[in-house]
Amino acid sequence: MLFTSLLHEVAASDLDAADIVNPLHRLVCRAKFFSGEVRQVDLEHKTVLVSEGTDGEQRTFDYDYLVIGLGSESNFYNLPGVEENSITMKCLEDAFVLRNHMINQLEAADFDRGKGDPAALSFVVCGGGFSGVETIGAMSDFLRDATEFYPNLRRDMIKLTLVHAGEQLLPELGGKLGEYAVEKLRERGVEVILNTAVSAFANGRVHIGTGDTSCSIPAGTLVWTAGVKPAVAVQDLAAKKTKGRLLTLPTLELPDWTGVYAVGDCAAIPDPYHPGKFYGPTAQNAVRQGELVAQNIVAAILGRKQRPFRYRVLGQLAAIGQRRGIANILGLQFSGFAAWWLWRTVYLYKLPGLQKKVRVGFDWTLDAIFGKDLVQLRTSRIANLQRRLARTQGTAGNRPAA
Amino acid sequence: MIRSLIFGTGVGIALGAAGASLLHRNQRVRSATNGDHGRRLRILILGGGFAGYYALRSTSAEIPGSKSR
Repeated sequence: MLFTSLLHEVAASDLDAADIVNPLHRLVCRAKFFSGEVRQVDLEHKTVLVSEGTDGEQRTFDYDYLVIGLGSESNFYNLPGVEENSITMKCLEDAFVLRNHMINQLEAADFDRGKGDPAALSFVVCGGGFSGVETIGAMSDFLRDATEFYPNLRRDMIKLTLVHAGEQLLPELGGKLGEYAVEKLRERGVEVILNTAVSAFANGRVHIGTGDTSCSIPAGTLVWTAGVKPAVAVQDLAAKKTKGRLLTLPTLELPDWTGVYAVGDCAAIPDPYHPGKFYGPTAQNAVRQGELVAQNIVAAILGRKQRPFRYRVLGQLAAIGQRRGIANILGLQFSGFAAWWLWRTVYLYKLPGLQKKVRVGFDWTLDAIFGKDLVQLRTSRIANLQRRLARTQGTAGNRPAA
Repeated sequence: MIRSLIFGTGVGIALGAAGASLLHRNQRVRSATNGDHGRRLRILILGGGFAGYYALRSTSAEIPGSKSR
């Protein structure tokens, strides 16, 4: 299980990658797992087709009760060049890729003595939600600290731009905190462009805006955090949906499918406190939904009444780099070092597993003493190795059946 | 003295009733999921993110002696 809330810290070398990943086997000792990709969910016949990662071997599971928590994937809105050329922030590999890419760009620019392509040191992040703001804050810290190790580079050579289609950053936190985030990012030299959407990314240029207001930014990097859509297996499901998410009853059960529940990012669960709206795809909501779905399954087994999902968000926190944060706790808004400290404390508490908490605590302490660890983790070799191994296994033909 | 005795007895009965109810509930859940009245129930959880993990953990906690997949 990946603790995605700290992904940007891995990208910025604040944390070791393994520290935010927990093996589910260890977390739930009594559990029995199958790791694979969900290919098809047949609600009619109550079966799920799953394929195993490396060679695509397929296996069918049947069920009496089903919980669909397949999450979401990045939505590129079919914009030219965006899906192919941008870096997302959804999985651990994305964090590796972003860190590797930032170091590659620095290496190349240093080799050219800073006189090469100016776009090489221009980084654009698209999306002003939590993921986008936290990522650009972490990138800013990382890149500016890293320039110390490159004699031909200066901090002012690095250009960071945050493009957001909305009127304010972090709309979930309220206007004042969004303005504070903009102010702090601009103080740090990050250009923040609001009310503007990215329209394409091609030939080293990020195209933004439409019509007369359109322009382009030279950039060697586009980080895409501007939208999500439900997983492919969910899109193909024969169930009611709204904006691609599975529409559920307040009890998390699908309306026409008894015993089938949806939770997390892929579920559209009605919010009783805001009629006509649905709960947002946040980790806070997903945790509570996961807990309630278990209780409702037990209630269904016992023939008892199931409880509706009712949850008021206690607060929200975001880190914006340079040990600054913004917070909205029970309506109380504050920012700065205290908010950043609270952000780290809360996420450390929420991180599953004592061992991981201790490791992350140590990492943060060492980071404060020694600074960032400028280590590049080359994923291309790992990918090549996996391809070679898969070919070897295929030719040997002696792979045991699952 | 008598008041304390009555109070203590009341608390004891309440705790006993709650414990018995929990045991009975667990027994019913175990009986239903282990297939004592037919075949064993299968609960399948898809997804290993926040929602999937907490669903799995809570299901394991709610259903005594369960084996989740």
